[in-house]
Amino acid sequence: MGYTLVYLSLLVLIPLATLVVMTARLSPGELWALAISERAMASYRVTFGASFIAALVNVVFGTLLAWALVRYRFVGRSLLDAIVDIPFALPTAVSGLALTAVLAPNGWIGRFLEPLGIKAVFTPLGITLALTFIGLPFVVRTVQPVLEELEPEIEEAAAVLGATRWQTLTRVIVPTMTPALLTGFALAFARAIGEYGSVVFISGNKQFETEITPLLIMTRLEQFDYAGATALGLVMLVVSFAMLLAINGLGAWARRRAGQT
Amino acid sequence: MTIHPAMSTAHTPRPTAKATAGSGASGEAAPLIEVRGLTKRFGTFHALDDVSLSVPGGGLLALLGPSGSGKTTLLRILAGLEHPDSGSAMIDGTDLAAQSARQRNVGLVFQHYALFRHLDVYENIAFALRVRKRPAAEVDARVRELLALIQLESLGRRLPAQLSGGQRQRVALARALAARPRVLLLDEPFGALDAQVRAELRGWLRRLHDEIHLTTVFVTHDQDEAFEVADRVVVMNRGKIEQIGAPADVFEHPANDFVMRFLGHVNVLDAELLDGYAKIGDITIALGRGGADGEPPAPGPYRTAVTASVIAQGDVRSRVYVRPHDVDVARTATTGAFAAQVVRVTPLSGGLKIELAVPSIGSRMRADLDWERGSALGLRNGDDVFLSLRRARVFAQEAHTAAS
Amino acid sequence: MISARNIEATSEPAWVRRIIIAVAIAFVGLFVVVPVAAVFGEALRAGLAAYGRAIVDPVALSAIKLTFVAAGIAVPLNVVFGIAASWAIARFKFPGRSVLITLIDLPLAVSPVIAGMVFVLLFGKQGLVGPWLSDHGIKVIFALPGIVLATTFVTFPFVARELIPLMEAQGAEEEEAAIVLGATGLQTFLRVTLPKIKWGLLYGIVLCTARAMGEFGAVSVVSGHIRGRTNTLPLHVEILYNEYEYQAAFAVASLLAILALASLVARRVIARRVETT
Repeated sequence: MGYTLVYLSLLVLIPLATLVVMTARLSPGELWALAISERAMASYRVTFGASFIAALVNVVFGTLLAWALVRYRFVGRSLLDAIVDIPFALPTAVSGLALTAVLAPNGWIGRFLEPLGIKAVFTPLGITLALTFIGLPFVVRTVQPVLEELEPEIEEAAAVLGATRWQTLTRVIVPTMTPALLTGFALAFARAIGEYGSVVFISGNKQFETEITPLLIMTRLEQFDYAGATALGLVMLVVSFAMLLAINGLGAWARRRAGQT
Repeated sequence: MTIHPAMSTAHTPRPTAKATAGSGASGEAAPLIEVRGLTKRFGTFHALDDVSLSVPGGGLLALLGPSGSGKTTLLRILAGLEHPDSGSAMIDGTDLAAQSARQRNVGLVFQHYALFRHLDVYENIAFALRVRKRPAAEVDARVRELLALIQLESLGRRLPAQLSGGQRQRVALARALAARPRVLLLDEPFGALDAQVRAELRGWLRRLHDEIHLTTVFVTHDQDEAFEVADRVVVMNRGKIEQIGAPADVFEHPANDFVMRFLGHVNVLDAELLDGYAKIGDITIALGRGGADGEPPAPGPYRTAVTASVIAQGDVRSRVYVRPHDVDVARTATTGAFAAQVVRVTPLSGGLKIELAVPSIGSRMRADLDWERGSALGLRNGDDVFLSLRRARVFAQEAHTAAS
Repeated sequence: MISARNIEATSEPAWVRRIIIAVAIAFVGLFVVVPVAAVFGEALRAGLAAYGRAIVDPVALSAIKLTFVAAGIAVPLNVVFGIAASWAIARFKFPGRSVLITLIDLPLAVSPVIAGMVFVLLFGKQGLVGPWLSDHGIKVIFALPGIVLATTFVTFPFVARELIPLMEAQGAEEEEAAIVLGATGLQTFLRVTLPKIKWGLLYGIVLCTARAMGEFGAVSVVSGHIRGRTNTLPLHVEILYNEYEYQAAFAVASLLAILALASLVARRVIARRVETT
């Protein structure tokens, strides 16, 4: 309908076109130089590194969490299920503030880390922990439906064929979950690299050490260095698109595998 | 009007019906599977109630019954997927209570195949051997052997999603056989398949069994399937065994009214049992004593096997059961025949089904005629005919009146 | 078919189960429960009076007002768009349909900072139309319009994404029947479509509103952080934190947290209704 098209153009297409235009204003050489400046590279290391580790942690614990929620009955199970949604629902500024308060040296958890010499605030560790918080729902909610649909007969078949419980897990259950695990990882990773609010509080934004790419973009904009911001924005967009394609591809692979049975 | 059909009377079902000598091709007489007094409850529901059973080595046994009869529960207990509340089960002399599912080395085939979707056909079949860490050469040889057995040699690298239902079930069977189990268990193996594929696989399973002589137990609710495939049939109802025997035995000499009703079609006629006679509406038929299993009962007015006290009381309301193929239809009256009117003639695959209205009995009856007799009679709706009963049965105790 | 979950063939030994449950609870407890509890704990640390003062502080109040205004404009716009787009996508095949579907997912895939950035590139001082805007005295960036635009951008998928699968699943037969019976397009929509989608729509609106009020990154880029004028609630939290006004920051944050938790509860309640219709 006409309204949709007009609305879309105004809201999405024109701003995106702006990005294209601004990019075009720079020569490829300039763009490249801006994209790989030392400070930019440092920010990539921080952003992608922390996001990767956070997504990985979420895959491990998120799977355990999904397993417990689907397979076991215990007191507080539905409450736990509801709490999983909180990181997604909470405004990022609140999450950032909360995590900083908790991990600060005098914070509820920080006070136990301090004597061990672990510094969580203003370090990449803090960033990673914040990104783990953010990504928590993604793996859980992606894996849960797959586990729920797993037929008991498959596990029974494996057991009667002689597999130990561990063998059933590793040879049958985990391979069945692989597409969901990868999708959950990709979703958590994609969310983490773009994350701003939850991270800026805890990171301290030290150049080269704890400066995430989104913040660098923001700084460049404040300094009216639109070119620099555009270059970095482009890098992030390319990665986001790649992740989007990967996620959709994984979804299609999973559907094909599950196929017609 | 008195009719003298060949009558036999029933014995009540014995709770511990033991199998007679097995008819498996290998001819071993010693039982391989021995079940005694098995009971299993789910909450208040009795899935199995004191069930006992023997299966000889090399036999092919069908557990036949309606849903809820306990047949699947029995199978799952044998596989190790359920634990009985009481009773014992033994395979090859080993008490199953001491063994977990994975230790038992039985083969299990599920109704919905339960193939591992992420593994190809080859790896599905190889699974049992891989988890036992068998060397690759041994695995390869065995898998190829089985692929040839199920005639799917060229499909080794396909995924289950790329196979038809019948192919998947064959792969499931090969998978179950890979580790050379002592016993093969199948849970409604053809239930998920089209009628045509089902018929093909039934014959195929029978031929397979003739070839490899593996002791096999399968569960079905389809009487044709049980009869076509199995050496012996166990008819189950509500957690109990009603009768065990070869298909012909069970069909011709049902132990009780449930078995008679469950297998094939039957005319159920309300009757009063009197001393030596059964009165069905206006018709009276003489009751004879049935012979031992396998012997045709002698005709004539004998005393029934109904208990003496019942006879003394005078009339007992009961039912007389007549198979449709035991109803003779003729255009002219003979001694003992009674009048009826044809309501509908339906051609079926085996012959003609005749629905009849019988005024003297006050209910409808069904007669099945083979093609020869049917065309010779040339019946039309509305024709007047005469019926006589070749055989009929009365059961002294009907404990299963609510059965299907 | 009886569940085989409690048979040892298909479940883990009890001690493994207990460990997994414990780990799961510990993980969620440490990562989620503790931080959320800390927000409220810290907010109330100096007592209820201090809490109250932080909330009714004039700057805080104007931040609340701005947040509501921005959401109040963004959400209805997105609802209309969402309904229109899902109607078009679920009912018709037209060239560019799949492009439209991908575009709708776009704001969710990009970082909120990028979302804000594109508006700055367009309307900012050195942006594409920036100079033209300042010549005419129109302020978009560092003013309310920019905030509304950024908020609308990041929240625009939510309603559409809820309605598209719902409308596709529901099918068009009832609408077709209405039209054949003589109803106009609008009547069909109001009397037939709307009642069918009402729970899904409500769910989408709750999601959209919660996100609109809580958006931080995108708004942060376009707002300029001008106290009292271009500060939304989330931005206000940041300012208080940067000024070491921790207790006030937590107080304001707790408001947002309450909002988020309320929206979560609302969503779970509505989700059950969506399932049953």
